[in-house]
Amino acid sequence: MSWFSPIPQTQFDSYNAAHLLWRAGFGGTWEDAVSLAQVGLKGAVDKLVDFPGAKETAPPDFVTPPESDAAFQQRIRGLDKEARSSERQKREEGERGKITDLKFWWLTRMLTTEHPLEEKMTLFWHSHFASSFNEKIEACYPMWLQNDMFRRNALAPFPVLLGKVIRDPAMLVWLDNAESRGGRPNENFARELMELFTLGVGNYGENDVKAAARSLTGYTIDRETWTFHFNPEWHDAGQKTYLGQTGAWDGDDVVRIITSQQASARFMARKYLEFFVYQNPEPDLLETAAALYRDSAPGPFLHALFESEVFYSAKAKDSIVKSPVVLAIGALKAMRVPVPEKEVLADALRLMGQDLFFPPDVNGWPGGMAWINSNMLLVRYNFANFLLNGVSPGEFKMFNRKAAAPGERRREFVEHQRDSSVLEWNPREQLRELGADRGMMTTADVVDYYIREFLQRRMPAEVHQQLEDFLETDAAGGHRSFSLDDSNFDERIRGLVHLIMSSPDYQLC
Amino acid sequence: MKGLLQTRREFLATGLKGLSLVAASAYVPSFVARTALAAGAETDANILVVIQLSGGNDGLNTVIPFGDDLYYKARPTLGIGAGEVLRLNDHLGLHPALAPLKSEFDAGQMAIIENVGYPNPNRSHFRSMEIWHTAGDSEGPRELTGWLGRYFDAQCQGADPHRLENEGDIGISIGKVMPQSFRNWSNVGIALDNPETFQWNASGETVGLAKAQEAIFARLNQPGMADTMRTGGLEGLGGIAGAEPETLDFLKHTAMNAILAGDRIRGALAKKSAHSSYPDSELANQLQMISKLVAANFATRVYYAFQGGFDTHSNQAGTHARVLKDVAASVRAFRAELRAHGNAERVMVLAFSEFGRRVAENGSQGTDHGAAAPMFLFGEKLKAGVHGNPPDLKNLVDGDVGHEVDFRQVYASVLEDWLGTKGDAVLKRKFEKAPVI
Repeated sequence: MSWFSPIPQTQFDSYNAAHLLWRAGFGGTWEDAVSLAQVGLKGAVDKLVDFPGAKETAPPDFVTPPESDAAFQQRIRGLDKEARSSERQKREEGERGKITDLKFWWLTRMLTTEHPLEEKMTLFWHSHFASSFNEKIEACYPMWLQNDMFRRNALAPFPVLLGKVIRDPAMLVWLDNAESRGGRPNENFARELMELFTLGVGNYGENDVKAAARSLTGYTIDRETWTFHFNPEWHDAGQKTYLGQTGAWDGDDVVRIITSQQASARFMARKYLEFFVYQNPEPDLLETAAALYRDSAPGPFLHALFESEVFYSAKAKDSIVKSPVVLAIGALKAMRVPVPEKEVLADALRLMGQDLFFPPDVNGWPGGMAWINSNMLLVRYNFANFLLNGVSPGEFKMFNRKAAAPGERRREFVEHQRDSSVLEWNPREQLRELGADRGMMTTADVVDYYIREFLQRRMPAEVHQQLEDFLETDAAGGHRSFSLDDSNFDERIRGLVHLIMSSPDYQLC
Repeated sequence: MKGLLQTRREFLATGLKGLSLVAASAYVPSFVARTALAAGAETDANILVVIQLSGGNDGLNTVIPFGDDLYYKARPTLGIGAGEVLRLNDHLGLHPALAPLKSEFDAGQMAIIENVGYPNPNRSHFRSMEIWHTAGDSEGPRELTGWLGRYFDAQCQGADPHRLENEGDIGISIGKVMPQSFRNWSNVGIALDNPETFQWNASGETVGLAKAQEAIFARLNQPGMADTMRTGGLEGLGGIAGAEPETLDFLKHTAMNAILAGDRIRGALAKKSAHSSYPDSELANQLQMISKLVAANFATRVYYAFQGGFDTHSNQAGTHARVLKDVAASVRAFRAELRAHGNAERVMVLAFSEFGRRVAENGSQGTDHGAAAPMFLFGEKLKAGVHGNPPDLKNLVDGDVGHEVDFRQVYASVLEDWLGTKGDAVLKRKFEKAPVI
């Protein structure tokens, strides 16, 4: 195989278009895949990669710079101890509430955007340059600034993006560079910059960590406004020998020297391949991709990747474990419903192991098989049950399973959806329309339809038959016919889709 | 002794409650037969509980060399005064936040091994953690499996891979993630975060439908069915065969492990705790869950728990004291509960961190990544007290404490003298045992 030769146009059918949608975005309906296939391979890739690019995204209303510490201290001065602690708690809860709103805002964007790759790359950078709200930041505003920076530079040349990262307030605080000054520099950011963001272990030495830390001293923030600030008094302007080059380096020199390393192209090429194509790329593929990456901007690189033989190869197809965010957004897209109640979705994503703005550590989410263990797999399956039936085990806040019988739960869920104006998924209406359009009415057609809508690949005849039998099971476990007019039609369809989503196959894309 | 054997009988007798094997058995006869015929587990076997202190614990401020002036020189703002430490001997004392553990030490149930590390220390969290998990070398080819995973493998050599015959071969990690140290060839282990979510619920209200749904669910997740699932009808798409079978296979084994162990785990965890002195912390919750599983006579011999917050690059003093206090109070409550249930004798706790921290503090009242640090063991059958010399602050290696004991010497001792297996087989090399058990 020639890794990066484009596949023939004729091979770009709806199944390959669905594959492209999952990898470059968050999946979609079967209809989306069909219409993407219609514009042809080049047209489809253009459509995904050449998005206009957000220039200056307006922050959502709730995102405002937090009250500065000085102003806060001023405000609580004179209050008694109890009132002060209550103000402090209010402030903390306020920021926690805002970050939940920000998760919801971003997830809604992923679900509704016309430019899914823009959000997918934003998610890619969020995990690559992982910074967490926790511990040191605890404010929504800098997390928004960082998210917006990733979005605006989603496909920017790497040196440009890195130049922003070494000036990003959330990053500087999260990895302690904001406190780093000449004489006794803090090594945290300098080390992770090379180890996790650009070069990888083995491509630098301990002396390079120290030299980079010295070069980055004085890159700090103004705590009142959460803006970048270069403090020349804290900066160590002396000579440093960094990755074999000697000079009075600063942060921009570090970026320049790093990005000129062969190791950097290889490191980033691997990241792209593992995110978009498959884990553990062959050495030859990696070298080819690294050369291509070095010689092109990210946009053209992704163009080539999304048209390539390796991207549509048997090895690549269905080989990636969907991240929880992709799993959830993909399911909502297939159901054609909006993002549900924000606390519930936030909880579900946390339990599935991908709490946006709270990556587990500076390495981001490891992804791949690490998304799966007994605990998180069951949460995924149960999340499907929640979306379909409103059954929410454990920590999902909205419902208490013990409180109600199954029928009650379902009714309560429907009620709740009405209350919170979350749209209810209405398969009967969907099927009626499709049935009227296409004359699709046999049990086998219905099973076909849902496998295609949700899984977008085929299942073996034997499994197919079982799913048909399921639709035709009566209350006592016997057999009956199935039709759109059945009184428990809805329960059957939800059960069917829950099964599809509770298959190992559904976890992969 | 209850093994999964009994659990499976319970499953067979359980009607429509969670996933029942009444439904599953129609589709997975070989699986059920294989597991139901398996022998029960050994009784009263020793248990190891590993606590991972993530982030790089500052060993020097945990076991404090208060008798050494160099310590105070290196730590002008972070040094803890000789008057504040909890003295262990004339040179060393515990951080004051570790007060709950001082009584364990005084009772001869705590061992501190000084200066533990490995050659060519790596200061990356992720690489160093990997070295501790895999018991591999810092340089040379990477070890892929975990040291505990290889222990599980050694327990069931020659057996059918991937079976869940015996809980004794399965490690349980309490937390969202599976530790790399569990990685092996013979099973996928169990990660357990929230018992409430540890089950699969059928979605229907109609009994017949729910039953049918459970049966199909089990069929979809049955190991060994991978290949036919994915190839049907796709020939027309250029021979697309789908995922690497390992991925699907792994997913199915994970699901089956969870389903088969789920009821029993939830049953054990639903019981009220006999002991109520646990602090309100994540580690305390994890240890409390472990003590319930031990009390329910699970045959599992290795449990894993996590405590983060040790990566103290800036403003270390408050954070470090808080996490140390959490660990100390949690471990003490855990051991008290084990004693109350008569299980203290057969449970050993091992606490480690991926590295210690730089001897000299940095300019932000914190410390950067370092090398060797103390390791901790708790239990009734160990050689209690402080092992090894106080850290040698005169002869630093790149500004860090050099190692005197290889962590694999401690592993060797735990494997041979506690878990009763051949240490060199699991560690792939002969390490002289650290004389701690």
